[in-house]
Amino acid sequence: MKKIAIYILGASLFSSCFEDTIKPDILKDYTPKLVVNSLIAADDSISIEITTSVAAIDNTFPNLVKDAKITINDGSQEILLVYRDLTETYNSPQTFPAGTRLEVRVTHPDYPNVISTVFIPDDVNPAGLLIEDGGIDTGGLVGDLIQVSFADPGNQDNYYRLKVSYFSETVGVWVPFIFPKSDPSLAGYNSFALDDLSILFNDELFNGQNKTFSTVAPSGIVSRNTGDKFRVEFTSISKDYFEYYRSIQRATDARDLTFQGSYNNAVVIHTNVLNGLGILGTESGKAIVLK
Amino acid sequence: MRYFAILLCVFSVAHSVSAQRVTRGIVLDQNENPLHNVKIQEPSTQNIAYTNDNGEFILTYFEQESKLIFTYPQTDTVRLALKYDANTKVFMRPKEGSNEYHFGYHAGFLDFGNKNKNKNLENMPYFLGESDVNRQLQMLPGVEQGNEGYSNLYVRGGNVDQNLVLYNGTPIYNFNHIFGISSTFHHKSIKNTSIHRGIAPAKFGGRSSSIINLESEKDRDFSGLEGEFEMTPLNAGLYLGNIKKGVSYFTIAARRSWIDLLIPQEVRQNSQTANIYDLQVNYGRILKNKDKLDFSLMNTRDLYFLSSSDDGDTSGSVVTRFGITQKWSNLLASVKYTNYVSKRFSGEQSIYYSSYKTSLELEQEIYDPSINSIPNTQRLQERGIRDIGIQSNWIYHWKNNHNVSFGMQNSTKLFLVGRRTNVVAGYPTVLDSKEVSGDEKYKPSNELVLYAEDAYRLNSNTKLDYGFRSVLYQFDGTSKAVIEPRIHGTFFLDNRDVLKLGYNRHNQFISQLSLGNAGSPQNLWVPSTKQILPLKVDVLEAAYERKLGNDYSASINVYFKRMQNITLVSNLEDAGNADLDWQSSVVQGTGRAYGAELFFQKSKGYFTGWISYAYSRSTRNFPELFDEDFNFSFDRPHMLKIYGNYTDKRSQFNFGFNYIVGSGQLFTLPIGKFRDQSGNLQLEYNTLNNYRSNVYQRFDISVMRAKHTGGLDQEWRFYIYNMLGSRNPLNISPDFEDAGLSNLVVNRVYLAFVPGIAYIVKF
Repeated sequence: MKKIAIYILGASLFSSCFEDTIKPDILKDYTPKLVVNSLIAADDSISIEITTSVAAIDNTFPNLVKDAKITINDGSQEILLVYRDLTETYNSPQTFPAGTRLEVRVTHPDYPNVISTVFIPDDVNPAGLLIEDGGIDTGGLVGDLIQVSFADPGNQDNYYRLKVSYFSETVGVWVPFIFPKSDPSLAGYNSFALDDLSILFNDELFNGQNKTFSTVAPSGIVSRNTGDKFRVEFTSISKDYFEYYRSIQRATDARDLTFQGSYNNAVVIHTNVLNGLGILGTESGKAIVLK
Repeated sequence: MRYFAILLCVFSVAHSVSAQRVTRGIVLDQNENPLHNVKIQEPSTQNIAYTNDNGEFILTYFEQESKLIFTYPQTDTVRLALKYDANTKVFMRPKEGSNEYHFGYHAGFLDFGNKNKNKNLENMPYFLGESDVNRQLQMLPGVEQGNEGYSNLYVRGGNVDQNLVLYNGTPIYNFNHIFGISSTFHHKSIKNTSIHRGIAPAKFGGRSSSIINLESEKDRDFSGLEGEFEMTPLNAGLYLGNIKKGVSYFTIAARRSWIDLLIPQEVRQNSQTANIYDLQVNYGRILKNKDKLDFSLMNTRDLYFLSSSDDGDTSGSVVTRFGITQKWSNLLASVKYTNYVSKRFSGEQSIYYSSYKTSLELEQEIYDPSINSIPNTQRLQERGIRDIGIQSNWIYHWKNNHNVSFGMQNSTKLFLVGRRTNVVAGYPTVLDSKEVSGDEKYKPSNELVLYAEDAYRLNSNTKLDYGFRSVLYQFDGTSKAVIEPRIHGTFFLDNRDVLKLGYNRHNQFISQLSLGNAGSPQNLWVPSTKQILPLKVDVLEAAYERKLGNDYSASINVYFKRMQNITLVSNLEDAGNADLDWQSSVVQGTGRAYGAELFFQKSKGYFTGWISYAYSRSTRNFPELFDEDFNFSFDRPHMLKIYGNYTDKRSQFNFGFNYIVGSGQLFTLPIGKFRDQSGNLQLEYNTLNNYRSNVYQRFDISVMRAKHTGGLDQEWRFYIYNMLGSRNPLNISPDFEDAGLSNLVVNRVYLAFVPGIAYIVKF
């Protein structure tokens, strides 16, 4: 009798819960957009990738766009970028210094035209320092101390990218290693790490101050190097570039969630491309090689 | 505290210089309903007072022999001589066919005792047959349930944590059973439910959307013992109330789930169980000096346990058991002393304690015959909040046209945002250990409130309530002081309509981080900090109320709300991790809400009920999530709600129905996909909450069959929720077939034809 009561109750509840599949109009009526991706560095040539977005219900992969027209205007001249099959990007040997404002236009007959205005931030001229056997690594062994110092411009929000690599003489390449986020200025909500082990962060906790970041390389990692040992890439980046990667980081985290929590696991990827998607990031800075 | 003493001193001096005599009382109709705005005048003088929202009055006058004139448009005029310093009940008989709609209270206020009375809410259709005060409120304009089927409350575009829910004056921090399906209140334990939907007197504050007051039964129109036994699919409940009219009361209400009791005890202990209970005990009495004393106690708990076994080796001799236990509970206790210090002074002194605790425990035990001990590991995550409050609320009758409310309220809240305990014991090769991470102790915050408000009667047609509420907040070495203006004007246009205007500011120094659905025990209460600023809300509201004929009334409310420093979880995983600082996982933003609500009700006859229509918009802006404004998750621009019931106490059959039609719920769907700079695929959301589901439509019905057998009144109640089978989504989830984001399928889950039943015995 007890079992019957439970079964009846359970059955009546579960039989009231239904599931079906829907195709909302906002998925069917999707209009593809141009996706513009580039990181424009001060005093460096320009390379821009153009792809298209596709509807979420479309099973095709986003395509490269090879016949778009891309122009860049710095206020005094307009240059046209040329597509190269080898790199699958639009390129120009033209360089622009830090402090330049650029307007990038992309037009294509099949897609809405897009425009983006970017500003190449000023370099903060960081200085690097290597002190051999100057610290203790995470394993408790003596290792090389690497420092990078700079003066953060006050009264403005600044964003930075930091990447530290060591030179492997065995294979002749720079190998990045993790820069520990132990510095309080790199607290969770102010910084995040990219797949290439770069750290992006802002100056919220040291605005206008002289700042030094330090790390100790794993013990003995370059002990046999005769020349270059470490490379510190320290660049000022645009706010849009920082926000873009922060939103991608959040989207990646959210995708791991297994339940729907309102819009918590839907992340809008930041873009500075009007009528389109993607990012036109800018940076200026230098790679400091420590020997 | 010093300001409070000064305030008391000022009123004492004012009191001493007053030479006139005072009488006080309450004006009631024949059913003992309070009559609001009754004019009481000493003949041939300008000594005039009006009854307040509760029908109470205090009159300063000259001659004890004067026959005071009680005038009320809907009743015959009464002339009475009252004694000095007396507290008199005055009854006035309504005229034949008069409309008894209560014009009192602030704009946006609704309750089921005075403003919206005689609606026979016991006959309302309820989800699964479980009478639920939250679902009664959900049928009011401006109050939404949130997710389909849930017993949550979203008031005028605010979040759930912006509601201050008070049970006999004590705040409760989780008023849901079963992850939000049912409220924690036994319906018989609640005599009246009231809600301030934005504008509130200075006495109330601390939350920005609404103040919801649940008052237990303290008096009724007869003395004696009354009881009720109720059985529903979820619970078996008992209510006993012994009331000596005008002297004392004792009520006890208890519910417990019963389905788990059908499962063998061995299974419940070792394999799985789920049970809930709640208990409410209230006692009060009027003392010899006419002061009152009230005690209130409430306890609720949800417990869910599931375990499984794994035979680790082929012989089956080693067995590993895994268990998961989730439970949460509330404990509320309060003592209130209502005293009449003098003919002009009355006060309420109260102390309350409220705690909410939730825990999730994962356990593993290994049964190995070759080991003498039972190796086991435990991982316990605990969260909670404790609130210890002391209040001293006073009313001072300054003049016939000035009644001043003032007081001091202190609330010390202790937060346990997250504490994780890992225990390892009994392993032959590992030392026993116990590690605690996260918050080791509860962290205190303190809110000290001083408030004052004058109810100023400018003339027979105009009443102005103006005052302030100041809050001194302290947490973790930081302090913040704020002042909230409270302004409300009531304009009696003639005997049949009233216009109300109000402006309030609310500061909220506590918020609940939602890590799932509202009502989920996973959600954590957190304090305002130096980094996470308190929520600040400005509310502007206008209301027009009118009596229609003898049986009907209607009201129109228009409101606008501006919200600043709304807190939202931006990283669900990290926010729920007790080892991490939750402040790193939230963002703060702004919001706006505005709307208009029409409310039409019928309160007399066998068929009563109401029709409401609400137009409302609510948006949010979190620059770190999205550059532009986006709709609040539970933004529903149009919502028409109808509740009707046919109730004839002599009839064997009665019935009720709910009908709701309006805008569908918002969900967020990816509309496109694209390659990011690293070549990975990303989903494109044009905005958050970009998809409004199909039109929400729901028709619920209840049929009651009463019979009297064996000397007992018995009743069967039958319910069907969503009788039309409308596909109102409980959830809409976009699912991709693989990590390559191909083959998107959008699934919709909905509830339809949900049956409910209740069996009730009254004695």
